[in-house]
Amino acid sequence: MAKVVNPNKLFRQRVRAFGAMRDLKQPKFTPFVIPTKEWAIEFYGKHDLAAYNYNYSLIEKVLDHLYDNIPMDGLTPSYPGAKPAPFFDALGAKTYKFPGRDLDVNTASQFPQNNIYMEANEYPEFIDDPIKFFLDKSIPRKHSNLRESPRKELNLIKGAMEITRYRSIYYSILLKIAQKYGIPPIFQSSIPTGPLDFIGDFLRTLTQLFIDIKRQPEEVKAAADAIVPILVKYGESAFAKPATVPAIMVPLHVGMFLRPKDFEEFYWPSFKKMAVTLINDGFTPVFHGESDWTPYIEFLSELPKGSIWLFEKIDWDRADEELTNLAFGGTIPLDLLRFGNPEKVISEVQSQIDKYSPRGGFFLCTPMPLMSIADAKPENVMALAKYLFEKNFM
Amino acid sequence: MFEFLKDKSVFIQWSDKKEEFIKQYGEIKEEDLVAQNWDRLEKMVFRFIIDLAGYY
Repeated sequence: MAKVVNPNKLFRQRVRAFGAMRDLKQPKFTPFVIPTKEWAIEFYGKHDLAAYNYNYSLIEKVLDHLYDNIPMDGLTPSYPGAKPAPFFDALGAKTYKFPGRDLDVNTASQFPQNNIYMEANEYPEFIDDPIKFFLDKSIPRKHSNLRESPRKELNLIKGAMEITRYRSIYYSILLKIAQKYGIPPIFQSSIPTGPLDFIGDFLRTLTQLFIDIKRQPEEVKAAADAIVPILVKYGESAFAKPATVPAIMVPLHVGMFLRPKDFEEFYWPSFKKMAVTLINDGFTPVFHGESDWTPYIEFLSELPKGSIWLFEKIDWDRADEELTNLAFGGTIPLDLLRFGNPEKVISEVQSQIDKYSPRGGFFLCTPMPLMSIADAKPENVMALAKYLFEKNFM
Repeated sequence: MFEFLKDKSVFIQWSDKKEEFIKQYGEIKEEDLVAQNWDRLEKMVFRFIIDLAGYY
């Protein structure tokens, strides 16, 4: 068990370490965080996955068990597998397939990407006024209970009340955990995704987006541009004033499906605009770059200092040498956590600290969240966390 | 369709639990702990729309 002494002091030390890391300085210790989704629920092991989608308060025990056994320097940046199913039920949303409703009670919720909420000929309407398009078109198409009916307002209110209840419970739990263990919620704020990702994920589907890029390229570019100020406002509106910590998490995944030429033309311009605006406005974006970003290192080097990157895959040595403008993490190999043993895990991670921490702007993290207990042996994760905690704080 | 969403007052009219609603969001507004400082209802409505258009 992690011995937690003076959580207030731990909290301050950890916030300072993240701030230094973000500023590309070498912190007193290398910050460590492993995002955990369903893994945390399975690690706790008391209920099936379905239970957490309907009984929100259960997640407190999961998180308490997680951070008691695995001390990290930041709260896990993703909801640990629990989503407010009653909210989605109230709106008639089919956004997710839920365990216990659509899936086996122990199958993780899924985000099927097969629904089109904007037709190919509707780009001009979206570009002209994205918010109006959401309200009039995409939201009612997505949520069957919000379509024309005498009850649609009531259904919306019911959903709003439920999401309020969920967030109130979830954030009050996070506060308790943060205070008990002295762990700051470094990555708790977010933006849904990047500009072109948004068009693919939430309006057109990826398949249709790639067809649109060929058939109506200018409209695709204009649509990505149109969503930039909305995403920036969404991310920044979570704060009362500009703040470098906590950071704003932004998952990215569409760009990697594009040829480098298309990446340069369709993905990078709107993405760069969003990133630069967030940084210049005084915020810290944390971009989770899914898939391999090695082909795009030159693009990344154009960004001003001030962003943090969690890479799923990249040539780490090239990133270390060439990306002196940004902080990065994601080096802890999942295969090692899955198949290795505590000694090998600790040895590998210590060698990464020795190699990359002198650059400043380095944090320890897995390349992606732990989804299932099969992703990492608990004894490996616990041993690593214990080693780092004792090394940094004892 | 959802013109009324643009009127932020609707979010405090729909319920007689205004104080509770504000209190709930106030509770997560702890200094430098949680980023979600939704003390302005306008922001809340905007964010709710984007949530619905995005992952929700």
